[in-house]
Amino acid sequence: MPNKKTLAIYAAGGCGGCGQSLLLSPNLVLLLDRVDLLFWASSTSDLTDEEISAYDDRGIDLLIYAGTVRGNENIATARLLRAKAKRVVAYGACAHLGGLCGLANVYSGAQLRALPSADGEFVQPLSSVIDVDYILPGCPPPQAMVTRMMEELFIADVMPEQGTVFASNKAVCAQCDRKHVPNPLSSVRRFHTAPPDPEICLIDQGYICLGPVTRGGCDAVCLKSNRPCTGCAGPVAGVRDQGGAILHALASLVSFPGTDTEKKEHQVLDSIPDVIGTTYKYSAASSILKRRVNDGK
Amino acid sequence: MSDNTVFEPKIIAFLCKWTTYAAADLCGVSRMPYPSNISIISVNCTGEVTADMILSSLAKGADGILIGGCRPGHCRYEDGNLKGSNRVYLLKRVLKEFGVNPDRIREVGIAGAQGLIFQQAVEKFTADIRAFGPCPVMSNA
Amino acid sequence: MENRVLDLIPGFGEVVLRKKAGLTARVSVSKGAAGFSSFMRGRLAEDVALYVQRIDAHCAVPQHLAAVSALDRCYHVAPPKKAIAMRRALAYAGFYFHHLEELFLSRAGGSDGTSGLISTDESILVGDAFSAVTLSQELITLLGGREITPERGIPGGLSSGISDEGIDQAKRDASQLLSFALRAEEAFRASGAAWVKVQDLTVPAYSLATVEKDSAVSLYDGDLCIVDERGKEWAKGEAIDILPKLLSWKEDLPLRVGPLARLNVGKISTSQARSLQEKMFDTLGGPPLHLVAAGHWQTVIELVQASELLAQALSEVESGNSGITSPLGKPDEGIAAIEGGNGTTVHRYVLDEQGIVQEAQVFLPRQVQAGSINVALASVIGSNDEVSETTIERIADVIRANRPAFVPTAVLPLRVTLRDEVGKVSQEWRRP
Repeated sequence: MPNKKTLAIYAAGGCGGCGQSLLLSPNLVLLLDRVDLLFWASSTSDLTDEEISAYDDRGIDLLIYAGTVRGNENIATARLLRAKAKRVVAYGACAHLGGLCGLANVYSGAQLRALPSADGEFVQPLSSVIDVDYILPGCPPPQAMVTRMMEELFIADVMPEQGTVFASNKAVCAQCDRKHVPNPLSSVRRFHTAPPDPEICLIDQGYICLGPVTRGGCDAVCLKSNRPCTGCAGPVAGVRDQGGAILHALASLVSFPGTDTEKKEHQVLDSIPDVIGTTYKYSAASSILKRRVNDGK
Repeated sequence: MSDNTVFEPKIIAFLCKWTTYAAADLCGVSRMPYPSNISIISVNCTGEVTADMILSSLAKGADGILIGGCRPGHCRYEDGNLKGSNRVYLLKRVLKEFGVNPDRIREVGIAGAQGLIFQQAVEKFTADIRAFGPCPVMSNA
Repeated sequence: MENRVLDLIPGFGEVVLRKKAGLTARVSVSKGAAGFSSFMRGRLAEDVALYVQRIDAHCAVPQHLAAVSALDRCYHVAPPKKAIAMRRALAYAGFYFHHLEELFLSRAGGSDGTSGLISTDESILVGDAFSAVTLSQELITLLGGREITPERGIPGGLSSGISDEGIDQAKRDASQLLSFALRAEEAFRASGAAWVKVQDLTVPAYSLATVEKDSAVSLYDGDLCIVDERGKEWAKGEAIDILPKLLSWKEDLPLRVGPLARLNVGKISTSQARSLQEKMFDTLGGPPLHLVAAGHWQTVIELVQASELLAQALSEVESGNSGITSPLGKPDEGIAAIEGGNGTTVHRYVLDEQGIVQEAQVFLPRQVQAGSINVALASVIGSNDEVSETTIERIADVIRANRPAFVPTAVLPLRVTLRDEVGKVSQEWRRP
């Protein structure tokens, strides 16, 4: 029997949902049998940087990091963990993209009434501060993706290629079984009237759904609850800026040629509410703009 | 000599080859100089300009972005210009939310024969961007 | 009303003692959700439930439900009975899941046993606890549309319904959860109860919990009821009336929420759980009961209560996607409360006429709980100027008494800092 791989799990700031998604895995008990779990912070214990330093460099075979990187303390710990691990998984939307917490990047410290010690601290995805070998997307990662991660990392004989994302390379649309009924976007619909038709593509019905620009592998579970995709698994392969990409796509649907003004187009575009919350919900911190700047005005 | 270096803005210009790019060409041929702050990228249609191109340009150091295409009703691909213009309209909202001055993106509709108008537009935009100062987005990268 | 930022979520990771004019203790704030209520401004009403349930996924279900209940009020809408029945069943599944985490899974590293509180009884295996976790999440998925973080709640009702097969599966799962709860309580009575009996930390407090129309304790929604330390009713009403009292608490005793508070506020309405609670009272006395560790026993009994309520709620759930929303009115302000596992959570939102959030406040049970914990901490530290390792251990004891998950820990993970007058850290203790 080959030596057990060593595994460590580190949860930084976040909601704990990623930890729960691991606990829910039917493979968890099997996993714990196959690996030597060095620590699971902060679920089973807190861990000081001193204690992390005690491990050999590259001494931990696999480190799972869930949660945001916000502030110098997190950055230092992340870099320390990187030094001690052979491979690192960015687990969940916060580690992968910055997550919901990244929306805070759009506001200034004064606007956030942030804690005194948090002044000037903004959210970053883990890959902005260390090299990340693998990504498990989702908020929290759905079981199908967790299972795939466990199989590829702990059960398969060969480690997956660095850069592997344990999800589909196709957009969510590939797993959504709604019918496409092409329709120009003439006004954006919200949930103020009856729920949408469950059989037809939400964008065709005028709702904003991030499916086309979001990585799939989640079985389009939100669509099956008659809710739009909000983009929690991050941009689909080939897309760098998730919000920009969906806005780009929506812009293509708003077209009323035949006049010499853009009045009608602007009317429709103005009806898109909450551009940041809708299109950059999980990815504000990993967008091209990353965070608020001070630009004169 | 004063040791203040004058800020020279970097402007990326996405120009539709049928119209504004032709106007820029005309400027060159007619020996009408325009500020060398701009770097021109020819596109088949302003509808080809993606959100990523605009945002990435800012992140890589552009202080201003000029997009030159056809006016509504004149696009040879019927509505490519409208789609391109829609994208800019939405991106300006995003820029505002992130604190970036949305006037750093300017759209112009300049026909191929309007060389002088092109020259004037670039001079004006360069002056405006110079007044805005460097775009702070690159320092985030 | 002052826009109270949501980042005041007391955590148990840090206790701050100030060394000046006697020691005072404060359960300090966690940075996790810094600025939450500020970045809720400008967001869409229909997204609110998705945001708040990610503050702390431990309580994702009650936060989701409290948000949609408050939004219902913003829009002056009463969801149809069909939607309410599903929301109620979802609430009980979420309540059960929360208590499972408290009792079995969110433990600090301990050397004795693997299954949290009920570690000394071999009849409760780790595998059984994990199965119960899986089943409760399956229920959350069947009723709420997605595991861990439900999707279906929208203002006015739900976005989609459940199938007939789903209802059958849910009923099967619920019945297994009841069996596990009964076994867990029995095991606790055989072993954990003895630990509770020898605890001596008693903190008299007022208690807040949600009650049904007949004053029995609710594990979902209802009127908010505050009783004094003798168990006498001190205030009762809707969230909108009780909220100001929470914000300006000035009584001489702290206010408590959660299992021990529910024990003091009212009777359990379901038969099996009630008779188990009677047995607990026979052993410990009460109500009223202010022995902090009794909250753990109550937590196990509430597993039974939640399962019984879940079975009742599922019997009223209907299948299908029709008739699950009501038309929305013109929105403005709405306040609602839900009883989560940790205690009552109150949500307040103000929307503009397009349903865009103008103000958002979420009052978490732990914010309220901090008061009674701080009183306990202050009593432990006393008037000594010296802080010793013994004091630190007694702090750990207070926290253990308030959070069942930490009971079997040999060493409670904790960071205690001593700050001087200007707030600079002069001493720090860390565990482990």
